[in-house]
Amino acid sequence: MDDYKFLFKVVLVGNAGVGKTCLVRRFTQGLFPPGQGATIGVDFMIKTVEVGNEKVKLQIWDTAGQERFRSITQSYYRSAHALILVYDISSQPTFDCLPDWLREIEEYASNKVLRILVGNKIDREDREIPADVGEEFAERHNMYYLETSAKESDNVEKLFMQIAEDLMKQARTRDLPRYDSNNQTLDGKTSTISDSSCCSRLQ
Amino acid sequence: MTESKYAELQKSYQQELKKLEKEEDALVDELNNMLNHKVFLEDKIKGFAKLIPTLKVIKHEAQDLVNTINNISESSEKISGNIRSLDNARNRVDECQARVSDLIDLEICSQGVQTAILDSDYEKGAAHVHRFLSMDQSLLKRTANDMDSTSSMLKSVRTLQDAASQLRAIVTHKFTEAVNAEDLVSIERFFKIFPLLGLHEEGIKEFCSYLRSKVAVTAEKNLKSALNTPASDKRHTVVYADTLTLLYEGLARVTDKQQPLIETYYGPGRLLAAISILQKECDVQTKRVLLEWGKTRQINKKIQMINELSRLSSSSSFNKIDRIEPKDLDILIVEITLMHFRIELYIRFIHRKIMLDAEVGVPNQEDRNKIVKSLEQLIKNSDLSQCKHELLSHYLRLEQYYMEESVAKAVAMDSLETGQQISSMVDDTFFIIRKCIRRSISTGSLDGICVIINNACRVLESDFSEVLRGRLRQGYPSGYLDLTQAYNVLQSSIQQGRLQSSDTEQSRMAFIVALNNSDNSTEYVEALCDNVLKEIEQALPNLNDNDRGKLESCLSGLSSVTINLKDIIDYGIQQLRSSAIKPRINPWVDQFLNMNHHLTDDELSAYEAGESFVQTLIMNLETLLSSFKDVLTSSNYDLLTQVLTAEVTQRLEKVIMKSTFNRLGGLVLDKEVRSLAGYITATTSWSVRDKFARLTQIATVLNLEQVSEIYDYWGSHDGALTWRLTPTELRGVIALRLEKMSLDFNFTASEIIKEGKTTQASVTELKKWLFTNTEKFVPVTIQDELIVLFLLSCDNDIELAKKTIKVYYKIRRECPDIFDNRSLERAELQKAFKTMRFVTIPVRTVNNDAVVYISLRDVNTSNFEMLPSMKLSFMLMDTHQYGNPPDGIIFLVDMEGFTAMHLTKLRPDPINKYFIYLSEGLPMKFKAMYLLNSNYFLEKLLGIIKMFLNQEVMKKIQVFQPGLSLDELAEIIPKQCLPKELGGELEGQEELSDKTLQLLRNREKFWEVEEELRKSVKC
Ligand SMILES: Nc1nc2c(ncn2[C@@H]2O[C@H](COP(=O)(O)OP(=O)(O)OP(=O)(O)O)[C@@H](O)[C@H]2O)c(=O)[nH]1
Ligand SMILES: [Mg+2]
Repeated sequence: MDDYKFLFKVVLVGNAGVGKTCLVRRFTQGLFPPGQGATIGVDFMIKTVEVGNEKVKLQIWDTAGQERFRSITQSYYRSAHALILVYDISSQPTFDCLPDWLREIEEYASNKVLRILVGNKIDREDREIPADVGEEFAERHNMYYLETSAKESDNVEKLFMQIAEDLMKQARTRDLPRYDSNNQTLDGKTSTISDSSCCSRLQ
Repeated sequence: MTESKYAELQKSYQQELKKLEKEEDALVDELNNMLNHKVFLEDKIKGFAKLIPTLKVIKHEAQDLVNTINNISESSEKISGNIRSLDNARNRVDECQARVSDLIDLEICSQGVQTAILDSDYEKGAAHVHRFLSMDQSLLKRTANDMDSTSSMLKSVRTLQDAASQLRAIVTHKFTEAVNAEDLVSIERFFKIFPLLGLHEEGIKEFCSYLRSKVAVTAEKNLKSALNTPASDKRHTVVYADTLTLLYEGLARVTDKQQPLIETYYGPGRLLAAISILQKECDVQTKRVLLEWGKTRQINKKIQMINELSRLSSSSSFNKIDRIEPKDLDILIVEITLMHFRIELYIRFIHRKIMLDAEVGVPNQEDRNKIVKSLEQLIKNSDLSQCKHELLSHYLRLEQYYMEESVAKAVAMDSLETGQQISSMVDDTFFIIRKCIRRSISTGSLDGICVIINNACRVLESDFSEVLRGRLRQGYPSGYLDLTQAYNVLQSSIQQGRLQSSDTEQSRMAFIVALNNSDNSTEYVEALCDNVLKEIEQALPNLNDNDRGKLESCLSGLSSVTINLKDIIDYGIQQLRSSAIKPRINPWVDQFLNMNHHLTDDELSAYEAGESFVQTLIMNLETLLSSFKDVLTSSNYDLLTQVLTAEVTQRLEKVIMKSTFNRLGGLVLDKEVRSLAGYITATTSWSVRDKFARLTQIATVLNLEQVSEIYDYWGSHDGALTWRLTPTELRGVIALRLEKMSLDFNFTASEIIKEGKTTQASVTELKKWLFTNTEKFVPVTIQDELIVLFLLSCDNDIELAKKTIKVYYKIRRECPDIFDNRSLERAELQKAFKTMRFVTIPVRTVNNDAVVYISLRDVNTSNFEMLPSMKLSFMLMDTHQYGNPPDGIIFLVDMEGFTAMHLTKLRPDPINKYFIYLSEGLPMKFKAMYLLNSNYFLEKLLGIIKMFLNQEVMKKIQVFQPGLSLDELAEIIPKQCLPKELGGELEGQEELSDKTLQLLRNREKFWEVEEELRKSVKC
């Protein structure tokens, strides 16, 4: 039975191989998939969680990190309520690419979108990016920051639950991210459309 | 202490004893029962004893039977042991035979194989080797150990082993030779021999490599001819797609042709290996074709330009770089979709083939899973897939650009044809969107389709809708729309994108068209959604649940476009409301204020004959609506009429609340509301009942025969209405009916409140209570001034005031003889006036108490009537309450001339009521009653009255014996309040009586109204 009250779209982006798919699988299926290949295009997964006493349906879009899928993945930014930007704490290059990703987000996503920076694979011994560097970067760019391990299931549940809670708070105050090309509504008051279009209120 | 313990013990022993007695009784009963049974049982036992010999016989027989069975089982055990050893023996014989036949075959094979090789009969040789290889090699070794003639057997084995390797070499060599010689027959011949020699993998590898080389040659040729295709050729624009098609068709043909051969000679389950080899060539060739394609079509340059353009346009309106005409991309896009689809089809083909082969040939589930996994790896890691993804990426870039640019163009070239409700941009835009989505479906890629749908949502929501929104934002200039002018000039102005503010006609038309466009677009979006879903289901029939979820999520983006459009429409309608509807409607409706709503019967007929308010209003509305009817889409027109209805009803409600009505006025209003609702119903397709609910109820209330009938509709009983008016509002409406029939007072409630004698809150509270009070004799509303009098009489004690009000109306209803028909023309009142003096003392006491004075003028008892006298006494009090309310009332009654005969004219019931009213229902404090010149009969009378009056009241009645001196009198009533005859400073009592008559005359209208209002309360 589809008896959820809110529906949120969460999109994961970041370089290939940083562990986006693993994070999603860990959260939706509770497992760490061995040897699954790179994602092709986008994958789509759903999980319903409970926040307070309300059912919240998370629609999770796991995008491919490889460059050649960019034209597919970009088209999902616009309707996202939350964007999770993932890098691999044991790989400097994945961290170095973050500004490029931010530029993409700036260009395609709603400016109200909830943005979270995630440093993944903290179970690994060969860390290259210290936690405070990641945190500092997130702060500078106005993002939440969280370090995770899809393998050890560290902070994965927390990551998604935090997002669900935050989006719920936003929905309550009718301030859901919604793409507006010029961010202007008809008579200056905030648009109420989002309320019905983004989070379908069902019985 | 011990005593009580003892008593307790005794008690419990007694209880125990009683229990035991009871048990004893039960036991005795049981014993009796048993004794009864004894006889019966003894009979039975006798019967059994007779059976004993028979049973002994049976026991013996059973013993015999057991012995026999044991014997049988032993012997069958023995038999089965024999059979087992027999079986073993047979198996050994079989094995022996097999070994022997193996040995014989070994011998034959080893002899035959050499000959066959020498004769170049490789098939025969291979068959011998195959026979040898199919023998159980370990068994052979065991046989060799068991036998004496080991040497010959070992020789045969060695011979065969040698022959096998010899044959392997020969066959491989011969196969290569045949390939080189293009000797198809030999190729096939040796291909078949490989598996006989246990060279399955090698055979497939060799053979498929050969096939691969063939494919390569053909592909080369095809590509060359493609490159040489002249531009004039019909297929020139899709020549690379055609080349790919040839490639994949060729590959598929080879696969289809060779599959039976492989299956027959190599067994099923080997297709994956074969196809993997072919795939390498497929990858190479596909890449080559795409490389050439990219070069010829300058694909990278185009993509780069597009990226640059979109970057520039998002940062600034930079127009230096030439735009690429979207139309020019059309052909290229089609070619890409074709190529992509070909690759997609080929991949599906491979997939299907291998899966089928595995299902047939690989019984083991685990092995099958392995095959599926390697198949997926094969496809995923192939260059073919890489190429496919690149093509899709190109396609998406180009298509998105195409869509954006084309829609921008459609919007820029927007035009309106005469007589049309919508302009060209809507049809054009949705045509483009449709086309792009269709094209994306033709790629066969769900991801591709989803991206284009997402893009369509973006373009529709921002680029397209923003234009509509922008046009509506410019507003609707108030005034009427003149169609004939509008169409002419609009055409050119829309295209220039800007309307001059002076061209109000065009601005109006542009506004209306934008509104219609928005409405029309919502329909387009819905249709688009439906059709797209159907087409996708047809093109991709095997969508799984996850794919479907993905697709539906993207499609739901279109519904948010609809919501956006509806929002725009709503905005537009609100614009119309404030600029075109409200300013017009208000003056029309306000005319209502100039109408007379207090009609006589004659006026009513005249009104009905002439042109009524509502007819004029409807005519005006009709004119207003008709100016929109044909230019707006029907659903926009409906929205407009809804807004108009809301405006009219709200405004009408407002002006009604500013008017007052009599019964006929209410009747007319009710009719008018009905015909207005009727008119609006006729013009629209939605139900107006809801919008008219309040107005209808207001009219119903004003149209009541009697206001108190409101109770038929109010409350929770059957027939009660679901009110859309709050109780306060309802009270307000009722007040409109009563306003003109107000009681005449020379003061107002607000003055008294201002003086601080009472509060508005108290008045309001009483009014609220009145409205919900259920006693039918109390009216729904009471005039504020009267309420104030009640409050003053109770020192603002609300509860006491409520009680007083109830008594007031109750007694007045029960005693019409005292309280109704107070016209002075009435004979009994005139007679009473002649018999007695009724005086309103014009001066108040120092305590602001009013005084009435009554005395007998005519002592003739036959002229005396009790009820009219009572009536007049209250009328006197009313004269006192005309102006500034007195604090209380004092009665001064001269009883001189009161006789036994008067006494006979009195009746206890009215007197009782009279005094109850005086003490509990009077809207004035009853301060005192002074009876002068008392006598025996009066005291008798008081003795009777005492029986039903309470102490409180009795204390206020004071009796004075004749002979009271003037000074003594002046102590009770001050001299300035007494007539001359009683030593006072006022005129003589006759003059005062005359003046009082005049005062009473002035109050006649008051009583008339009071009675009517009071009687409008249903009893
Ligand atoms: N040690 C460790 N390895 C991880 C973790 N998460 C993912 N990996 C490994 O990282 C590799 C890539 O993981 P994916 O989840 O496929 O990466 P991805 O971001 O989805 O990659 P694309 O789909 O190509 O964008 C896999 O081999 C995972 O096993 C983690 O938390 N710890
Ligand atoms: Mg992935």
